[in-house]
Amino acid sequence: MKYAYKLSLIIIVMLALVLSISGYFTISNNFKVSLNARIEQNISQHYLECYALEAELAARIQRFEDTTAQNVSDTARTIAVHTNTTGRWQALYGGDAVLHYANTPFTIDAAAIQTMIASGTPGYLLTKQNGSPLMMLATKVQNVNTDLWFISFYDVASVFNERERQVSFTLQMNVLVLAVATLAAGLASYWFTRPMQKLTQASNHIAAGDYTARSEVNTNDEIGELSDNFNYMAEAVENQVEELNLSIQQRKDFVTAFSHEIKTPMTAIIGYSDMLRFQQTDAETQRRAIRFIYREASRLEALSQKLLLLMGISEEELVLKPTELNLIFRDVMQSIYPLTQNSGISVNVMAADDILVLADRDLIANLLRNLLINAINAEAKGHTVLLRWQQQDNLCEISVQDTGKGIPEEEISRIVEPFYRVDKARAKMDGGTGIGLTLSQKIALLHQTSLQIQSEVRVGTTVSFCLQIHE
Amino acid sequence: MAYILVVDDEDAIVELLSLTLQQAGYRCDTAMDGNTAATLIDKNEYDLILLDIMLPEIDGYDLMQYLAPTGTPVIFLTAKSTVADRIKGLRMGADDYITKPFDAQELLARIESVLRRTGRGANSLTAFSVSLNLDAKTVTQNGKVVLLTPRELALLEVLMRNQGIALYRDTLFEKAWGEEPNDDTRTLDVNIMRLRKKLNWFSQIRTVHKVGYLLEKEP
Repeated sequence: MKYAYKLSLIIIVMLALVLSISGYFTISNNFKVSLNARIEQNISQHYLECYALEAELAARIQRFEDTTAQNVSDTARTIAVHTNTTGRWQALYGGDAVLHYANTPFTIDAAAIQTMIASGTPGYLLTKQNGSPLMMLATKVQNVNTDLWFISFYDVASVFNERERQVSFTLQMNVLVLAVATLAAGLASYWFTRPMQKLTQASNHIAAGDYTARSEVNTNDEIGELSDNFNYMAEAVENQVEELNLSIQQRKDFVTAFSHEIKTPMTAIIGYSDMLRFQQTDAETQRRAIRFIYREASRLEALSQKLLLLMGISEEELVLKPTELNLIFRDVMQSIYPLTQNSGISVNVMAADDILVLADRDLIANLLRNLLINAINAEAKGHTVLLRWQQQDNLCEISVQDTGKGIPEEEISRIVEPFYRVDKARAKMDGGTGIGLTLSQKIALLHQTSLQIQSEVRVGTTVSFCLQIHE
Repeated sequence: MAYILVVDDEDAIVELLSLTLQQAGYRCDTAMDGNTAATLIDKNEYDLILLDIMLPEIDGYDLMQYLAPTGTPVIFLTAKSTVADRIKGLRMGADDYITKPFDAQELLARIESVLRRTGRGANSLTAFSVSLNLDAKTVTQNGKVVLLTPRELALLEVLMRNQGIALYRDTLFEKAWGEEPNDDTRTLDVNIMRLRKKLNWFSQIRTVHKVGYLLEKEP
């Protein structure tokens, strides 16, 4: 059941209960009061009539000196006749409950009369006559020489009817009040639970995979607070999911790129070697085939070496030793010598005398070699690539700068991903493996630094990192 | 014979493909990027295009869209081997999708199949008035049916496809029957002998010393 319904139901049940209880007590109290008042009134009336009867009887008895029972009852009858009005009746009974006179339109309940007379004391009795409430009063007539009981009957139905009327009126009122209250409670509950519905909607969206969904509740209460916390949570989840998706995507990309990267040389190696083992070929074809096999196998070897390095260096603790920066630069320049010779691009190296950096010489040389190869490949013929360093406090910032084609801004962050190439064409004439920068970044991270890449398309690229200077 | 364009950005693979195709008797052009390929497609009318997907500048998918209206059959030849890639390639209208690394003999068979299907190639191989129907797998010589066992037929197909090239015994065995030969290749010799007898090809199938067998080129 919905919370709004529950809330409305509770409000209405409570209200109905309160209304019923208060109605019950009010009506029953009213009833008691008016019944008592009526009883009082009737008693007074009764005594008044009884005294009148007594007085009249006394007067007559004096006049006629006749106090026989017959006479008394006759006299009483004549008196009583006058007092007959609607809803009020009288009767006279002798001492042994013999009826002398009655003006009632109904048959008197003889047993009740007998009980009252037998008790010997005046009193009243509430009874029912044909389903209508009736009050009976009995008093012994005084100053007569015979047993005579004056009985009054009062119709008290109006008191009971009034109660009935009040009950039905209260019921009607209650129904009206409850109807209005139901409406009001429904509206209030809806208004109170609407923020929760919004929260529910937002959480449903998130559950369905739309992690950008947020709850738009702007109230200053507990639900508003809950909504704010919910939104914080949703944001955290969104970020996590994004990160997770990115890493899944990166892994997928890696596998795709890696399989492509190894399949191409494999195709050449398998294709040419199959040709050689199947067909008798001429010397020239054989030579070319073997050259291709060798070249592609070397490419695979370079790739596997870099991959092994990439995976291997993370595991062992690296010991950084004070190393002359000059020596590192010399190593690098020697290793890229053939490339600079063939490409027509020169590398301008800044002298680095007496600078000692904390580094693994081979790894940093490897890193710089990768950066320089990239720079040379990006650079146009006849231009110069700069290898620079700069001291900043106890850090030495080393940078490789080219004025080549540059990297589009949106790709800079992805460029260190394995096999990510700005040029999707993957022109591999340069023998690039596609993981040079990934490896370089890894080496930089092992030296507590990272590659800073600044680039502008058609202006050039600068890649830099910092090494600790050994004092 | 059919005129084929090979598009791939790897020189090793371009050369391997053109060598294989030329040996099989096809005329063949090569392009190493999308632009060159597009220019060639505009200039010449090819019977088939072997297309790599990852190409510089214009990639294989773009090129496929570019040449779809010409109706030239296309076979994608790529390292992209996931099912999704295959579906994409075939949806784009490629006639076949071959993943690298590929087997040269299989590639040739699939090229023939596409050419046959598109009505651009013969459905039979012929040599010395012997015709091998690739659909029905039947052999006729001068119009007369020659009954061959499946093994002989497979062997004949490989020989006819590599006409004029000396083939090494063990690989010939493997290519013809798809299984590694055990130590002796006598089965091969027996089947060669039967083929020679049935087709009266005693001089046409030549034994090459220390190599294996060769189906002579027609003069």
